[in-house]
Amino acid sequence: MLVGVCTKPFTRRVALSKRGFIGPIGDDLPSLVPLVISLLLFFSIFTLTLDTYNSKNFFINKQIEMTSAAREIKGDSLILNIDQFMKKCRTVSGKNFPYNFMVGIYGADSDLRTTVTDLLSLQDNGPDPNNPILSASLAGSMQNYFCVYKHIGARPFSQNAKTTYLLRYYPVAVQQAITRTVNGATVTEYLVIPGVMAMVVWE
Amino acid sequence: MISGRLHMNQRGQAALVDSLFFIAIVATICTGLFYFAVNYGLGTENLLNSFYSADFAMDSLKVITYINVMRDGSAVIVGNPSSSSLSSLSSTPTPGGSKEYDYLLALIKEDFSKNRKLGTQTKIAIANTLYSVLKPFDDSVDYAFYISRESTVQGSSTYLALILSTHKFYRYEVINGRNTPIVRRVFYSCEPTNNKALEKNVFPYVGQIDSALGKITLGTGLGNTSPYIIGLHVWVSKKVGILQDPTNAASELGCTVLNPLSPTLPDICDLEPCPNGSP
Repeated sequence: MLVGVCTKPFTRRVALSKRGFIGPIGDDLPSLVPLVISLLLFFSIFTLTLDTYNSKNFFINKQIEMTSAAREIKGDSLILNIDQFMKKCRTVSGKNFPYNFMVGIYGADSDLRTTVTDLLSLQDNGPDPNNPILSASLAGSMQNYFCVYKHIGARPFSQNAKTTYLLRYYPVAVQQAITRTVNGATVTEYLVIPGVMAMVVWE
Repeated sequence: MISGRLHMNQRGQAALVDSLFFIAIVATICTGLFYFAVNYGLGTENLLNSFYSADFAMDSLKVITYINVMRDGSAVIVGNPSSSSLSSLSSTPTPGGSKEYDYLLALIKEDFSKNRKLGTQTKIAIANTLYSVLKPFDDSVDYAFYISRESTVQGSSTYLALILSTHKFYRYEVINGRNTPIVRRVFYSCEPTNNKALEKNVFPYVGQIDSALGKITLGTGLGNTSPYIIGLHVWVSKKVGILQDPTNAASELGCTVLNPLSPTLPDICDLEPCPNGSP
């Protein structure tokens, strides 16, 4: 009796299982689809997050380095002469600054919409007294308040390049020499004028 | 896993439910990762931007105190030595032999020493200096510059000078077929009736303000000096009701317009009545 009770349902169950069995793939395929989708989703989001994390860290680091370099170059916001400006630029680049940078000083009457073009022009063509970036005499020749630092092997900055760059402006005072005629005698005087230091940092 | 003994025949469906649970867990994790990716670094970036803004205000204040202006306060020299302003400075003969220039702070100290007040000419020199220093950012910022006594006396005004500069909206005009707002920068010299005039009438309405403060000493003679605070507050320009007309008699700011008194400040005489004889 007991045997009969136990055996009958067992045989029936086996029969039912056989009826529902499609095959190893057929049975598991419906569950494999969500599994594959979820794995794809996970790895996509994980990659995206990692990329975002890295790029944001890189961007933040670039901003920090730029802020500290700009602070060092402008000092107390008073640029006494072009020699001092160039020395400060060399000091920053001599510390193995991790990015490439260009710095130029404009007069306060300048149009800053052409900053990148002006800096590029000086980078490519050298000093130009007609460039809106201020100029002064250094070692007997007119030089612009402009300096550029590039890593060894770094490509020149190009406005059309896909590289992202940071551009910031800092108000500075610049001491400029002027020649005046006072009581018939020619004298060189110094006056302090307002300016704007533009800094571009790129990778 | 879920199926019991009675449902051994439903193997496929059980695995499907398992996978749905799995996708739910993965979706939760992905949401968390996405949230992290979107928000990561925002605080640091805001902090860096605020460092930059604070540096900007402090640099501007320093430059204001460093630069030279014409002795009559009429203009600030800008540009290359070859530019017209410096050329005229070096070549134009004047009755005194040459045009004179000086530090703005020297003008302020000299004027203060006469009667412990600042005259209109000095205020115009300050306005010209502010305009020159912040001209590259003229489209985007408004600002207030003040010199005030370092005093804790309640109620009475401690301002020696308060120069407020805002963009004033006048009207719309059709230019090239487009409805264009006519907006000009207007400089005001204010004489507030109490020492919290800026805090009460301006700061609550203009959003984030970047401030820089410094200390100077003004006096009327040897041993008769007092400490004064110079401050510059810069904010992103926006249309604020109270700043549309700070000359309003009801305003605690008590401002008068400076623009018509100086040819180097933006001309507004085509937009509002100006005193006779103004440039």
